[in-house]
Amino acid sequence: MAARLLPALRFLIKGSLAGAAVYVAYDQGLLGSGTQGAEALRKAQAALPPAIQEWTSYVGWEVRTAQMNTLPPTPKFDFSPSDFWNKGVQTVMSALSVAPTRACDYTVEGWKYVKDLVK
Amino acid sequence: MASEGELGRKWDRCLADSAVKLGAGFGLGIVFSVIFFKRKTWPIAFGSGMGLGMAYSNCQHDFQSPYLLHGKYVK
Repeated sequence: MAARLLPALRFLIKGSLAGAAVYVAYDQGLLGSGTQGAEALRKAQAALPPAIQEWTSYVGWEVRTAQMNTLPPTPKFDFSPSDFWNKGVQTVMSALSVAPTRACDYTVEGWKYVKDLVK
Repeated sequence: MASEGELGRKWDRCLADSAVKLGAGFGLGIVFSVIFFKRKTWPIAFGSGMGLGMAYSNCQHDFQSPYLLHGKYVK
């Protein structure tokens, strides 16, 4: 009786754990629409700095010196992929547009330097 | 809100959702791998793949529905 009951009980516990994990993921909006996923990421980003602050103070890494009372504030994660991408494209394009002029300038300077060396 | 920024906002939403779904699929894959499948690797890959697929489907729906406004459901 007990031999048959134990595997069933074990399966029940495992099933409950797996079901709880899936339910928590669903309840937090991780398996929903794109807006819900973005909202969940924003909530996690907002919760991260206080959690880091709490953890560092728990471990005892808060340094008190004459100049400053606490560690510098934890950085805020305000990441916008499209802004970063656009800025990257603008930087690359502006560098390409001034590249011929810069190349000419460097060539002239280099030629002048060599002429001075040869003199 | 400028309309030319709407595409950028959609991309931001899409990438954030992809990161969240990949992480959730990965995490659930680990849970199922440990609990049911004797710590094999394939449930983790399966979960991650499912997460990415769900994110791709959401992104596709978002980009192909230009006239829908995103609202917030207030409970």
